[in-house]
Amino acid sequence: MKNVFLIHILCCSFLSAEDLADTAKVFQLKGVMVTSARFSRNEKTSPLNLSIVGKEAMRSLNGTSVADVLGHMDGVAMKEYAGNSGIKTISQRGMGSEHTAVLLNGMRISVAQNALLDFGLYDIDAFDGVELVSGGSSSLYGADAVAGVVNIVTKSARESFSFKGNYGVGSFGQKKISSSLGFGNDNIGFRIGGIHEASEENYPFTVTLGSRSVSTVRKNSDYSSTTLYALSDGNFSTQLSYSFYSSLLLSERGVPGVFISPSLSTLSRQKDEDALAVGGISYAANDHVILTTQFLSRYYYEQYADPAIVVGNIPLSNYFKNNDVRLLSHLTVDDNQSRWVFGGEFGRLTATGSSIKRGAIRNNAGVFFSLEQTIPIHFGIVENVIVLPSARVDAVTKFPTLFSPSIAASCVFSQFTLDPLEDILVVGRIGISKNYSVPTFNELYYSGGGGIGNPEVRPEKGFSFDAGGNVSFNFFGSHSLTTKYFFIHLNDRIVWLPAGSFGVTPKNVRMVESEGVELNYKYTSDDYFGFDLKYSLISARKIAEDYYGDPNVGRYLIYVPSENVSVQMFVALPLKISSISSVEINSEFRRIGFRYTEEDNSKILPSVYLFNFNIRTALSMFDVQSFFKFSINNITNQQYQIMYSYPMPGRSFLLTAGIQI
Amino acid sequence: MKHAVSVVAVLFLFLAGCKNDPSAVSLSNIAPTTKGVYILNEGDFNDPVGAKLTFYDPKTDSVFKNVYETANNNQSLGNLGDDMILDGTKLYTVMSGSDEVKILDVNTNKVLTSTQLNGDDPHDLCLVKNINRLFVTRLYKNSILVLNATTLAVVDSISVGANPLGVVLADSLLFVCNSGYGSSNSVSVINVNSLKVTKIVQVGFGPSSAQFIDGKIYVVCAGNPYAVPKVPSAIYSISAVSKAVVDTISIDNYLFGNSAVGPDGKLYVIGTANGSFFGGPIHQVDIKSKIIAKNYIDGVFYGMAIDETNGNFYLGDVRNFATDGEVFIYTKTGTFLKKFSAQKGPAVFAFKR
Repeated sequence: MKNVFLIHILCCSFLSAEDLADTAKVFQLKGVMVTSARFSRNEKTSPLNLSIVGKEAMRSLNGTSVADVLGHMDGVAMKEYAGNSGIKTISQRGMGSEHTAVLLNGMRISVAQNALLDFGLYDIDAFDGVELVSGGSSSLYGADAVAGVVNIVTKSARESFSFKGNYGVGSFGQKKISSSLGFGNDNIGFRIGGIHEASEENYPFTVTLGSRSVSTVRKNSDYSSTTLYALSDGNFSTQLSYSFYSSLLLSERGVPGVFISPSLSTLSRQKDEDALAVGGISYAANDHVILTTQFLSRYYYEQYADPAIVVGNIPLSNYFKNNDVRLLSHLTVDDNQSRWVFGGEFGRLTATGSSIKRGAIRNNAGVFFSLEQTIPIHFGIVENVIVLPSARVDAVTKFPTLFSPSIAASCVFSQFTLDPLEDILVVGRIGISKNYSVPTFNELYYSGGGGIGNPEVRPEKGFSFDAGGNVSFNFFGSHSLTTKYFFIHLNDRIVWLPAGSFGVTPKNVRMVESEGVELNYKYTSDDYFGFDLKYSLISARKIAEDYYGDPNVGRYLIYVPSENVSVQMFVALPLKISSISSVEINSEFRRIGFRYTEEDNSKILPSVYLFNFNIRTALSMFDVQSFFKFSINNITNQQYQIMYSYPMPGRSFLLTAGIQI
Repeated sequence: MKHAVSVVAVLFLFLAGCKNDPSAVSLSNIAPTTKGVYILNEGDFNDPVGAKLTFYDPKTDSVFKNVYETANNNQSLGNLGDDMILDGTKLYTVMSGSDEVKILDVNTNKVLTSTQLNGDDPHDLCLVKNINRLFVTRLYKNSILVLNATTLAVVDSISVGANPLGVVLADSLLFVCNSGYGSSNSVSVINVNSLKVTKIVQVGFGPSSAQFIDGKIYVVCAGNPYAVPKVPSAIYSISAVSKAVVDTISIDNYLFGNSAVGPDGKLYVIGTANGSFFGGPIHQVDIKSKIIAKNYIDGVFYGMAIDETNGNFYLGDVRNFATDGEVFIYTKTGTFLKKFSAQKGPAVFAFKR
């Protein structure tokens, strides 16, 4: 018993609330159905480029938020402005945050006000997975899916009575408590939960100011975030099923802003409130025909205030509110060879705020179809070809016709054995699509200080091309190698330009192209060892003048890492001592390539090398399961910045303990 | 105003246009006897070490960059260089982002004295030599700091109106432009001896800079294009004696806010142009006839100074802060002479005689 406690002390833990009942597997190599995305696909053979991080893989990572998960995914670079308190937005394949559509259980949750969804606000304890579609997908998902789509998947409630509780303490005053209570069975379930996390986050850091090295402590970087959620899903009958998820997020944090000198700190504060309900009903008429209807209702509020900045005689305090109601319905007709999807979506979004004085409304109606047709070939080494034509037409307020066609195909070769490699499966993919993103409310209607919206601004339009393939085989475990090439061309990119005294205004002036390759090699050996290597190389440039005489044509886009490397390794120790049911060791390495910080490419931020580590032990005694997890972030204590003048934390720790009854 | 401009200025791009760069660019120290022009480059708002000092020697057509760093063991000048005054051998500089005021010796360019004014957002300077005081506007604190001009010790603080920008001395009176970023319309008059506000004068909205010419203070009011209805720009003249508005000059264009006086006694103001967030062309204002020569010098200029010895204009084009800016030199008749590359955001000039 003494040994057990010693191991626990050594093995503590980091992160967040987790499902103790999970097995230790980290890397899921077998084909996974994207059940929560709008269109079900098989990850291994789909013409689409799909990446999935399930709850087991999320549990193995260091980090507490969806942002931490996305940072390890193909072609994704997170723009991080601080540690846990900082805003974290996505940049996929060299594009901006406005070029990735974000969904929750298949329903859009992108922030229409400014397209800056902060993934750091969303705690992974409330979710079962994150799915990533790489490549233009407007023909399936509508606006903003220029670089791809992120779909966050909520938990399933279908389990028997259980209580889960976690408590964690970490560096810089970090504290986190998470619990949930649920009951049900295989047919129906209910669960409620809450997550609270707070920290002073006054982390030490070192930066170079000119030639001078300055070591100090980040100030006004505290945060407090609370999430309450309730969910239920189940079957009314063999034909009728439902799911429902609602949550309330309340967040308040300091915004330390640009670091200027050790003696200066801001008083800026930001509040975020996100209340949403998403649900749906599916009716299976028979084995081949399913009608699904989903809804989403969302209220989003954000306030930024700085009492130290007085404009006129009024301290700065800006806010906006977005109300979003959406309805989506689609009919799926499926047989062994083909899957037809016909659907329609309607959304109504309203915005008010201190910088949108007259408010704004956006109505959106769209219809779409897709056909995933499997064509048996059985000729030579080709087993079948899957083609996926799809198209969508949207009518958005101010933009009556937005047409997005696409076609993608995959070629599945016959599985073969090449001794000693077994079950070799080769899949090739290719796809081309037209895509668009709609202007944000700020771009259309902003009327606060420093600028003015432009009602004449148009959607950004472009096309993307993808090609690649996947090879998987078994040899002392499962291996998978995926390669992707992508090319994105985007016209009419919106840039805020000078517009007279005291203001800027957005205009459709920029033309950009981004191309690159993404490689992913995964290996798992039963449940004991896993290895996941991701590499991406990106070249994203401005290819035409924004204005006559623009000197920056051909320059690389700022804050797009030239290359990214992510390595994750998992070892499950076959320890069966006393009540210990498993011991897992996870290590991560990330290299974020250098980024230009100036449009004339005159300055760069150097590459970042981050090593993370965690060890987790699970115990089982008297029907009570418990775990301890100890995580270390940034083991080498690298001093770095993702965004210029926003220093990030050095080495940090988190110890989490949890039980499940 | 410059500070606000910089804060918003993360996004853009702008203008170019180019020929005749000077032949020499040097990073070496400047000889103490060298005459020329100091250029304070504002720098990016998010660059802690972005404020830079450039020096131009017209005699040899040489540009010296990173003057401060070169002379001060690579220490940085600070963040957001917003104002600069040269008096004798002392160069007073203020960096609003890093809340610093520094005095340099122009013979060596080494720092003589500096002070950190944490949280004060120091923005514009006015030196009153006879009482050895340096007046510094506190942009977001609606007040003026009074510093000992030698030691930079804080002597006093005087409350004024909203978001004070330009300051001008007229005899023993200090006229402070309470810009309110377009929402305020007053000038505070301070007696520099009593350090009291003696009067608040109503002018147009957005007073941003002021010049003292022939017994009158000319206040450039930028207006407010975002007000409903929009408030146009105008120039107000205030009697230095009565401290009352005695005249106004209307202008059918929004002004950027900056101004300078030429040796011809005329007022020169920076306007705005379509697509120009960072300034505009130079308008000439004959304050006697009230005739305005619009686009006297065409271009998009963010900073302006006039060499009183020959009337030459030194004009800073910040090129949207996306790359190093350029300085244009025009003759007093508005003829282009030459241009050279400075550093990021050339905004303020001072002449070393």
